[in-house]
Amino acid sequence: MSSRLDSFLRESGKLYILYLSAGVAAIPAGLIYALFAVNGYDRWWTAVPCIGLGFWMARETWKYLSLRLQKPIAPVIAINVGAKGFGVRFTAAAVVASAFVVPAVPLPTWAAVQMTQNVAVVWQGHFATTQDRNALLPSLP
Amino acid sequence: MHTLNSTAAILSFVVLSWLTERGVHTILLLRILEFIEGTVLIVVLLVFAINVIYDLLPEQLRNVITSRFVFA
Repeated sequence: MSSRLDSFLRESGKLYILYLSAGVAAIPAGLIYALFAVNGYDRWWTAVPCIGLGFWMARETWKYLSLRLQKPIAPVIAINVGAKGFGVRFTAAAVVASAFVVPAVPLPTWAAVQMTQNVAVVWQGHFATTQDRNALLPSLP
Repeated sequence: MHTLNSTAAILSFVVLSWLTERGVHTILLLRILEFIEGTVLIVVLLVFAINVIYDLLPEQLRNVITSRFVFA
């Protein structure tokens, strides 16, 4: 369960997104009015319809987003390849083939791993720090 | 909460348009940006006013009518 602070911040964020989206939705109407204005038609009978158009678009966006922001994020569905679509024989064949192929793939040397720099070194189940890695360097292949 | 968020949105538009205007050196584009910003600010203020009317005023009216001042 979320704390009161968490839900306060979440709702505030949603409201801020709503106001910002309403403003963004009004930009086309503002552009139309700006094109009127720079051509000398900055009159009330151009401003009022443009502001009305902007307000209508902002309201539609507000209605859509205030519903959309209540929906939960869709979960990521992990595809189980072996369960459906390929059949038992293909899966078994792939597993048997991988038993021959995987040992044949050469492992990277320690020098090659070092060249990547952004690698998390795991030794005996722990993430090693840079100092650990440097200490282990002579004993590694 | 509406006041805070609409103020933040308006300030965001002001800052963003100021940043955009710094990168634009054409008088025509500057004027177009000014008019767009003005229209957007008016629309956000209208949205804020409508929200306040629909959210807060019924609550206050109910409080006055029932003479029980509940701030929910």
